[in-house]
Amino acid sequence: MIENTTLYYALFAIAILFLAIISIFIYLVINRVYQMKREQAICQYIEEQEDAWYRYLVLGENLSYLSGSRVQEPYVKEAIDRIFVTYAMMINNTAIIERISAFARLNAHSYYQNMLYHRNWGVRMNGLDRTLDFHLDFLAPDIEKILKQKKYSSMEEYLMLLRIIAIYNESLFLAHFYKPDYPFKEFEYKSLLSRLEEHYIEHFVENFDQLPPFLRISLLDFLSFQTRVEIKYLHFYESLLDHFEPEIRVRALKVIGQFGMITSIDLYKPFVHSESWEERFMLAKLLVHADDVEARPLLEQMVLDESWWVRKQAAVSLNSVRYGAKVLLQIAEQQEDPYAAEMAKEILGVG
Amino acid sequence: MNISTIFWWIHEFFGYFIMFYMVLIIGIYSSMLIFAYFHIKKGVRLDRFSENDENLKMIYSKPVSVIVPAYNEELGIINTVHSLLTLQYPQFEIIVVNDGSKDQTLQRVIEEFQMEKVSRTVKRELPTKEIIGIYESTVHPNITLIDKANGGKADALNVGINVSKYPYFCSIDGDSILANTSLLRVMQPIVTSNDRVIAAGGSVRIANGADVQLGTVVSSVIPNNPVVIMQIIEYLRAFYMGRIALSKFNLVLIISGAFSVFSKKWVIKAGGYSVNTIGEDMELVVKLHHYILKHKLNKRIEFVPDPVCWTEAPDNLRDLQTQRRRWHQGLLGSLMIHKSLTFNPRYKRIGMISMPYFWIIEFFGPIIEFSGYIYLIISFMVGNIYLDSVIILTTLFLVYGSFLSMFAILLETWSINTYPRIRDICKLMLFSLTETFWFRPLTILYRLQGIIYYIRGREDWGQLQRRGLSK
Repeated sequence: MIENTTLYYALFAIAILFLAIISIFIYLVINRVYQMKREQAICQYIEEQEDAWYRYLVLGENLSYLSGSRVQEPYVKEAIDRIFVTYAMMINNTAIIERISAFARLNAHSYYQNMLYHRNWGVRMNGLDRTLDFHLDFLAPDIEKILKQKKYSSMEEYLMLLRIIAIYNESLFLAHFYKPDYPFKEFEYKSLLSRLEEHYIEHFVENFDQLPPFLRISLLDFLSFQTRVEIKYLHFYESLLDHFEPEIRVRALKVIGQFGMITSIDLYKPFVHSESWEERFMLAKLLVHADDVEARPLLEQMVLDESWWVRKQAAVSLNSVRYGAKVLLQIAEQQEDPYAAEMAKEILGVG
Repeated sequence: MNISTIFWWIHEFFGYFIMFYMVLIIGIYSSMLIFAYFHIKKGVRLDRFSENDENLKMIYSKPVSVIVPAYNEELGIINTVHSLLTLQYPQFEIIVVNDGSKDQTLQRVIEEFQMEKVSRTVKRELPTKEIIGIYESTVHPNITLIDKANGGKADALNVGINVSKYPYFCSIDGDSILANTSLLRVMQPIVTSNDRVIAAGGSVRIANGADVQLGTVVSSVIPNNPVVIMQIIEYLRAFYMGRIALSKFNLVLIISGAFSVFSKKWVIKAGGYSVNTIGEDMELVVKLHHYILKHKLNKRIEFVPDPVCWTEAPDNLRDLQTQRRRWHQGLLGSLMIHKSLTFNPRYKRIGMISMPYFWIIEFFGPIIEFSGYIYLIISFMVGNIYLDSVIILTTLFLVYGSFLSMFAILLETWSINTYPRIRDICKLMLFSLTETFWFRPLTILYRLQGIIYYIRGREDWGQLQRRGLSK
């Protein structure tokens, strides 16, 4: 039997839930109406002023009416911000960024500053994004303050703050970079390295052995994505080939592969018999950049490797060095190692 | 003690049992809702992806193989591949695995993407059915087509894993469409966690009624078909409520097979997809958890709410019945295979929370709800309960269900905002109020049928009728 009191509770719960449903529904509808109104105002401003903004941002014309009283109207700053984001993303030209920054300094200082202190995480992140992308140097003291007072609540926020401070305060940046408040691993270091100026990178290369372990790995990965043609970098990479950490050796081989040149084959010969298949694989990959005569016998050995990945890469590399196809054909025709023969046939396309 | 006393006792016991279950469910769902609320609220006004391309390339240096298993998908497959070609991601390959389709799937892919047969050795890291042929596209160098003997979806995925050349793979259903930033977003937890996250799944949305052009969802409106509307509400609730909270505590046991990424290394170590079960997606996640815990690894499996995958939902009750039946059959299959984990303290949170959650809420849910309906009817007939009580209890069910639905709709508008029209919100609200009267009881019956199929050992899948998403 269901008692009367239970039913009263049920009725009470129904009333509360029903009220909640209605409230959510009303909120959703009002919110939609507000959003539509806002969107309409923003679009209207953009439509009316897009030519003027083009003339100011791209052609560099001095249009004082853009910073007139209309900036203070509702939604106009949001509309201008949207125009800035589009230009910064699509064109990303130094002169345009300078003009954005100059306009923001005079007309939207508090708009962007308030974003940095907003209670919603998403808005704070947007504010940090703008500070970085639009080079809002007038906000640098705020960034320093936030960092010093530790007013951040997530790793994402902290990373953005560091990216910005790297531009304005080297010593504060390095202090955090070497001893971060959150545990940094590859992703964090890589995302910071990608935004740093060249002198930081040179500093890290010179002090490689003193760097935290994850930074070392990340730095090598970062360098492999960059086109650096100076020979000093090749010497640096090759100096790491006898590093005691296997991970560093693999990454060094990888970055040398990207560099596209080696100094002496003798440095690489020991890797043919390396215990790690990753090292053998990376070697097979970079040997395309070595002298044909020196690379061929090494690759020939590696087509017979016990690892499938090494065999495959060695066959691919062999096929691209001079007279390598002939060697592959011989391997394809021999009987002793059917796996190597099969791989050679596949690469030659005669399977 | 006479029969009527025994009946009274059973009746009384059952009444309290159902009451207790209801309170438990309401408690669990409410706490999940709170977690979801804070999670979504945090990023509500964030502009996503302002990174420039160069940085993405460097940071997202983990290439992904996108595997599309296809069995009789001639209507949807071309759109799916087109949608994959528009993905924003630095390095990826697309592997379409034709699982012995009886229709024109193979021919259509070959013709559309100008594929030519190639000879390629494949490292068989997972045992699979025989590969008949491998084709490569002459126009898009990153598309590969595998033609293989029919062996089921799990077998097709395993073949895709063997053929794939990258360390991560993403599984997509042959009838699904991805938003162009979805792969970046779903890979984000893997990249930012420095490989601590070994699998991640995104949200699935229903594309019926959406305007799909050349593999891209141009706009979405709520269609008029009640079966589809109810599923839209159901999907929003499932993805926004349950999974966000479960993911926060590394308790996720289901990441959708329609769209998820995995680290290949760990999947191979765990033995790949199981070919003998229905519901291979859940089975793989449970296996990964099993492996992680057994080897005491500090790894996570996550659900990410905003990368979206669009899929075609059944638009009639017969197809819905087939789908729900096999989902429940698959759920029970996976739970039975890994039953040793349940309440096993060695498997920590998965053993003590996740598995019991899936048994009690997901598996026994339909049985208890069905019993609840029967209980109400019997009580009313024997005069133990008055009509007004029946009405009050039913209304409570109704408003609580609708409350959860409305809340999920709210969270959706805060994150992706798929349905921006006021008319659509009204439609969703009105239909969510009708759920208790028809949709819920029907799906309960379909799920009960899944249990019966499992007990009788029936393994037939039942084929869903595809209509294709393109207009």
